[in-house]
Amino acid sequence: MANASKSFGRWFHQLGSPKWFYQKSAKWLPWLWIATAVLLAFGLYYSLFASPVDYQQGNSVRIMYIHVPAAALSMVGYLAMAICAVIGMVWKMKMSFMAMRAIAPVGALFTFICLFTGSLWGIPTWGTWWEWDARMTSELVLLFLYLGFIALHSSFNDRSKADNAAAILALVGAINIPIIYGSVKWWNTLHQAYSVTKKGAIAPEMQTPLFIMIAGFYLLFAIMVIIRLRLEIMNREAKSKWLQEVIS
Amino acid sequence: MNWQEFFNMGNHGLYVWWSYGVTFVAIILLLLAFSWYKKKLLAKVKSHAKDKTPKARKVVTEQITE
Repeated sequence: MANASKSFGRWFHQLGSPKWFYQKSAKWLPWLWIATAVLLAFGLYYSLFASPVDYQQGNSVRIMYIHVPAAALSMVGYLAMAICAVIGMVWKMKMSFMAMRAIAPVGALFTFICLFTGSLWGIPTWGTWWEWDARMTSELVLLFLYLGFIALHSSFNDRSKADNAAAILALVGAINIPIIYGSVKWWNTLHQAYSVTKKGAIAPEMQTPLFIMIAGFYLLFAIMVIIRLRLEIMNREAKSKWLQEVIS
Repeated sequence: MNWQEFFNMGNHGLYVWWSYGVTFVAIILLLLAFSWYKKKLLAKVKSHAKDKTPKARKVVTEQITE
């Protein structure tokens, strides 16, 4: 037990070091890319070709295989951003603020994908591309929270002020996440209720490819955040000797 | 199933392919934006690397020459 907490402490300490992360992540990225490519190759084969057609929705159900993973990551990403905000504010851990800043554009991208594919799915399924129901409105608010976070962060010249102000926005905005998640339960929405992991709610021939796509999207999200985080390290450590030595 | 049927997707092809297509393009565009930003940052780090004189010493030498 003591050993485990000791090794966790070391891991946490290393993760807090921009130099350690910058050097290690260069070695992780190729493997992550390979794993993502394999998952997405299988996932796309099943989602576009080998999975069954829905008896009501026909082929439009294939949009689910990117809509649902994107929606999941849009929320998980925001939670991760809010957690980084707390760690950054409480423990003054600079890597945490860098990670927070790195997640924002990737989270915004996945939120956009969720909204865009949802709209296209809605046209043949609901007969409308948009409805101001609770699920869609709260997901649109999420996109504005991500964009607002980026805009707020870049509006300060002083980096520490930017980090702290944006962290507060990330934290306050986190209240929207349970609202998105609960919206289909609490209100009468056009959007269907949660069914991804519910027993018997989704056919296994659809659930398996969906899980493969979710796993692929998680890895892709992680890759993009790592790439952006490495850039954030370059930006903030530009005067550090170790970085100048690594780059030259 | 032939290719035409595959692309048509029972008249849902337009929605399905636009969804997958825009998703793909959006991901590529953000990755391109990252690589463009990287070029800018590489130049920034290199310009700092050129300036080898430590700040404190700079101030001292400036004061002496005055």
